[in-house]
Amino acid sequence: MRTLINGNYAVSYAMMQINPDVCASYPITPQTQIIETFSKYVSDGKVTTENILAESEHSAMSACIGASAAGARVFTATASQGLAYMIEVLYIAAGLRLPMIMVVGNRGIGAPLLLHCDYSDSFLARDSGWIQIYCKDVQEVYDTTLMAVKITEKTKIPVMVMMDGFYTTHGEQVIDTLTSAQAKSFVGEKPSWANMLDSRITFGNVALTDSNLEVRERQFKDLRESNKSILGVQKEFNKKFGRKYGLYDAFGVKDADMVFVAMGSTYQVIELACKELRKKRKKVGCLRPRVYRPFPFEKLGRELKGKKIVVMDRAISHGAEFGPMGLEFQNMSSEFYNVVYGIGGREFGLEEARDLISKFLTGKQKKFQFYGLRADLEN
Amino acid sequence: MAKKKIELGARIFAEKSEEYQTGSWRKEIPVVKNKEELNKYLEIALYCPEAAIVFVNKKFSHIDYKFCKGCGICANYLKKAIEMKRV
Repeated sequence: MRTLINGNYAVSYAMMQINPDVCASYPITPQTQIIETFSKYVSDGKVTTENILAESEHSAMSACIGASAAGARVFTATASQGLAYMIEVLYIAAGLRLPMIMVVGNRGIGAPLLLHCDYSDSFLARDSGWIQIYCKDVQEVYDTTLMAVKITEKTKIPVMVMMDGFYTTHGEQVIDTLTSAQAKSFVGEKPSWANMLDSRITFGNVALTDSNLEVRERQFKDLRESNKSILGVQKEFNKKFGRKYGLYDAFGVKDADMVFVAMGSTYQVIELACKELRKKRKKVGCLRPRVYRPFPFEKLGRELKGKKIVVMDRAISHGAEFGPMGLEFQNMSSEFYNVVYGIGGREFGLEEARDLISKFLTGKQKKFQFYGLRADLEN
Repeated sequence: MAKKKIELGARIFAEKSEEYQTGSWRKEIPVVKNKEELNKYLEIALYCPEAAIVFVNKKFSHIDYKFCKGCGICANYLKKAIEMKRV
């Protein structure tokens, strides 16, 4: 069905269609609409979900952990300071190997106080052991939310689905939604897993110096190998509903001399600008990591070998040589550049994409730079 | 060597809990020096946080060193009967 919808509504709509057992959440801009709309579905009796309106993000995630440990299908959403507040328990959810999904409307972290998009919040949870998937538009957010349910239940690793704050959370787009019957049959009946209600089991045990390393190694291996399950679920979804989801998106990379790497909604404008330049016979390409954890470094390395790459970072790693994405890509190609852009939601549209690409096509650039700094502000 | 399996997320199922012995943390070990004295104070079984002091038919049987963490509460309560020694 064709529907005009924004990212937030698409998430709560998808969740309404599959009727999860528990939702524990706390509203925060820019994902508030998810909680609002989902609570309305609960009040209207469209779902039978136990909707826990927690007093903080820390409590919300803790309730999700308890519910998942009791065998429930769980969903929550957060952003920014809220994600930072739940960071401690995010590690616990991943360490206990509890299936659950969390949608994040990316927003930077203060101070200074801000509302708009950058990836400082979800990158904070990069090493927590969650699967992280970054979406470029509303369609992808809707589809990925549904796929995430299946991925998490298959891998027993919690899944975080990211969308750009305001660009995607509030930007409306016409998308193809599934019917509720299709959505339900795709995610399927919730598989049963060893839980606190059905089995005599202890969660949250101590693992000191004698066993912690082994537990961590298992967690590390399982997260790396989860890309097989992710690909499997995506393949099934692609086949059933005619989509093309992979671990990453690429345009014109094969014969390109210069490749621009960008995440989320930025990829849309970079791709448009690259397509324009292709018509002028410029050999440019672009690439978007969709699944950021587990990071498909082997495949990306093969794609980008011997090319000049420009990695665009919507986050800062203070004190590091490059941005977080730059650090990830710095050894993948012969010539590497890193650009920090769009911090705090600084506009990066088609104009800026054209400008940035032409800068790199025409002149020599620094290895690391901030793009889009205002000339009329003195720092 | 038979390998012990670590369950997902280091969870422990009740059936296998006996395999996870926590006595190895101990720095001091309680040694019984007066059994007769112990038999007069059955409540000492309740004082032990690990329930490692075992009484059978109201008579002291043994201390379960698989689970005793050497906290010394028993020795502190009944100095006449139990003494802590360095491991």
